[in-house]
Amino acid sequence: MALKTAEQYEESLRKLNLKVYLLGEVVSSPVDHPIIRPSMNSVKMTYALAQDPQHEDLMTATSHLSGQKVNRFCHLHQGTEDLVKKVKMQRLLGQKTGACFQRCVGMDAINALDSVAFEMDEKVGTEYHKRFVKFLRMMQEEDLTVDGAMTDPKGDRSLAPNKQADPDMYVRVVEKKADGIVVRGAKAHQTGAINSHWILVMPTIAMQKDDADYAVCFAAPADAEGIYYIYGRQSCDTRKLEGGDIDVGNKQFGGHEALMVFEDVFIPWENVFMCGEYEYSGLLVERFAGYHRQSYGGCKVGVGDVLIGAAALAADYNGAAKASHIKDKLIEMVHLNETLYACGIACSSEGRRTPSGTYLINLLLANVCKQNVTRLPYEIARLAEDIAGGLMVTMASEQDFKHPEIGKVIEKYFQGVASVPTEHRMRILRLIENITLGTAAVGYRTESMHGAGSPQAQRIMISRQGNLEQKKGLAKQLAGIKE
Amino acid sequence: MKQIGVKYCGGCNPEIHRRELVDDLALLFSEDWGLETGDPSEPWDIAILVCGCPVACLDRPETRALARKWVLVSGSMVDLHPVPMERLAMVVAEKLQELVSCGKGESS
Repeated sequence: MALKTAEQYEESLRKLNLKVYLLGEVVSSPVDHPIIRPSMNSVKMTYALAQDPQHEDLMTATSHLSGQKVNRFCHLHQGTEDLVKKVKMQRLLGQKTGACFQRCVGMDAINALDSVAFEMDEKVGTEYHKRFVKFLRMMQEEDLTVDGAMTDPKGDRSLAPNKQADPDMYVRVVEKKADGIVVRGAKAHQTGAINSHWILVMPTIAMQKDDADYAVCFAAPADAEGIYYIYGRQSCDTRKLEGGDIDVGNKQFGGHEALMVFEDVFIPWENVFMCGEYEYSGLLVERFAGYHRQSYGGCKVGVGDVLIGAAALAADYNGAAKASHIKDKLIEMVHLNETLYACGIACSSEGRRTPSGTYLINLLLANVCKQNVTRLPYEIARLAEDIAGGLMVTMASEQDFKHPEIGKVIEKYFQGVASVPTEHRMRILRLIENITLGTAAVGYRTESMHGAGSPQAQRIMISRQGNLEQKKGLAKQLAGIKE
Repeated sequence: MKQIGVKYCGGCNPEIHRRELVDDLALLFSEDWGLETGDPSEPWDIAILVCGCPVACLDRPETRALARKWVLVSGSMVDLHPVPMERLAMVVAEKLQELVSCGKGESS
């Protein structure tokens, strides 16, 4: 089976024995939990669209391993065309879900690990790439969702992993055995973890010699013995428990993050892709972060498309669509959104081949892309709130709207343009609320800031790759400076 | 029944409703024409390349190899010529009719 249907994906999740805590309780069936299910629906969309002739050109690719059609989320980029299609696919999925569809981290992890493992084997004589390719074959054949897990809790940021008061602040190897390793620690804010079949753990920073036990990369089934998850809260998340479909803003789709805990988890050697080669941890982080910074030039743009559409509808429903300042604000939103897309396309088009054959994005442009993503969605959100008006956050509840008596009052006083039902106006304002400060704001705002690395991480990379000396040379030549 | 192939671009930011266009086309066809998606076992005689925008990213040699004659829809353009949105299906149907009856006019 190279492509799972959406239904097969959902059924495959039901077979997992995940241990998930949410709101102080163990969740018996994550797929069916009203807070979790919308996020599962978002991942499910990555399977559904791959079956649709209208979208298969973006959603699928031909495996370089088997020659079979595979989901693009399981594919290694074989050229710049693949890199461009990745961004377009992400924009499409952002448009269809209005949320984080979570599957990108795994795709970005396999692409980063492929080239790093290959180069590590060439230099050090290890056999990590062979093991990785075996894992990748399984991922492609079974159309798996893999959670790329990078971010450690990190404790005291001023201290190296081996200097932390609690040594578990970074995932580490606590025991090496003949048949594998035992790992302990945690990965924080793991996007899509509860909707994943496997997890692919990577180090979170460039390690030094004393941190060799922390330079570890491995894959594990999401329900492996010793792994459990503590589900992250989102603003307005308990609205999903109210049973309505207006106040949630986006009833069908969402995203999620979780704390993933490893309590002495055994990993067989065949699933270990780095163990102590600390010199390569930084390269893996750099490449994963680069791919993931590219990703944001697609997914956030797709959600931005939804938000711009919602803001334009809010203006229509308010009767303000013809006001010149509203038109100008919508133009600005489009301009900002397409700027992000331009960055995503640019870093893809300027990609390059690595020794393993997998293509890497242009790292400078990918970091510029993500740096813009830390800013522009906030401005797009601000403009959406401006256009929506204060009712977005002062509006009565769905229960009141549906109340036999006061519902009529809400119908009357929350009416905008007479031809538009009040309910439509409420729905579109709740959607804007959802993206700008509700559950989806986790993905659209704060994840834009900190996901794939906080703003300063990109500035460091831009500084390294900015080629300042060449620019000085240009200036000296034109200024007639001879040395 | 004569089968006409349909290949869609991925649809990341379409300027037209691609599925509606194809549905409209189906209504315009005579009963002995049928539309077929997927990859053909043998190249189609005629096919429509339905791209949502003028970039037409699906218009690549490997796609072109799937049929002998093509009509290219790229946003509101047919074979690179702008067409009023409301006439899009009609113009595509006319192009297909030309290809069927004359056996010529492969689009560039």
